Amino acid sequence: MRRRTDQRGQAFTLEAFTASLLLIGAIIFALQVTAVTPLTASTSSQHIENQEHQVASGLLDSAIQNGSLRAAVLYWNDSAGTFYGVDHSEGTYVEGGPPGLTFGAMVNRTFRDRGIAINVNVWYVGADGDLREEQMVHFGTPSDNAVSARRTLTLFDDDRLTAPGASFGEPLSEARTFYAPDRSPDSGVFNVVRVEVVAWRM
Amino acid sequence: MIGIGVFLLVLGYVLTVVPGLIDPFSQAPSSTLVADRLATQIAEGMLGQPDRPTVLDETCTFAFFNASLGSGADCPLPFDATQTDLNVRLGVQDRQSINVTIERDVDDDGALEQLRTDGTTVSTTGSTTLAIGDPVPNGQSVVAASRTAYLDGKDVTVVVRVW
Repeated sequence: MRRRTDQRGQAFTLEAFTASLLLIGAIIFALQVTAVTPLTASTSSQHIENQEHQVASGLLDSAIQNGSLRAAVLYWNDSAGTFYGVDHSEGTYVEGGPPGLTFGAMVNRTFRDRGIAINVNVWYVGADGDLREEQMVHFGTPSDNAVSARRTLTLFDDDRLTAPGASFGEPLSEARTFYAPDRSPDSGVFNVVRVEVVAWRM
Repeated sequence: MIGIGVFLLVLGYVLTVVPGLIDPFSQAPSSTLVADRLATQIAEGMLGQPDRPTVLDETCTFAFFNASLGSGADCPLPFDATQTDLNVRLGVQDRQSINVTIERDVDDDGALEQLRTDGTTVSTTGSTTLAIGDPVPNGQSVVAASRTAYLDGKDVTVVVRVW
């Protein structure tokens, strides 16, 4: 009897190793099946995303209140068919908000100077009734943690282009290359645009 | 003996490491929530105009920081400007310290400057500082929440710091 008990030491050792492996294996499994752990490399933070969203909403509200959003949407170079002073190869502003405009300064102050990248897109109703997008500011492709805020703005036939040059002061009804078409030729309303700000941390 | 030794070592390792892995999740984010809620409450409720929440009402804003410049009784979310305890005025527990400021990047250097008012306009000069609350500590973690708002023709940033 005594001899048999002594011989079971090897089995106990093996058992202990198996138990340890099970423990470690369980932890590894638990970490692998969890999509997001505290150690996952990410710049996302719900708090920061909330802040960026609220700040973007506030910015659009302020820009509507002081009229700078309307001026920016109408900052169109009618002879070139782009926004005024854009980067020629990209067709959009790439270094910040529209230069020389209050809206541009507000955007730069609020986002760019604090290390937040932004896209500003203007959505309008196209000639076929579909929503179409005209990019105004384009920093790049938003990250997975981007947030967006949007406000609508009604353009009227007698709104005037604000960009310097030959087309300065031209009413929308006479503009030739303006991105949005006159969706309501019989009324004073020209089109309704939705300005969208997409913000994410660089 | 070797077997049980290895098992105990592994068990000890697991017990010490696992709580560390979960730790960042289990921290109570209460200050974050308080800061965020206060920023909304102040920028869009107490000081904002009802029809355009982030467009600040000047009388309410000035009264909030200096009771002698007006009253908060007629604001969208009425408050008692003469209540000196900011925690009571905002409805926050006493153990939270709060600091509310209105700032703007006046000189375009990328950093926000503290705004002041003389009772009618907003600038960097004036008798009333648009700041209220406890002094912000340097050696402690502080949660900040900010809102962009519109005040006196300018885009300003309302910053709420909680610790």
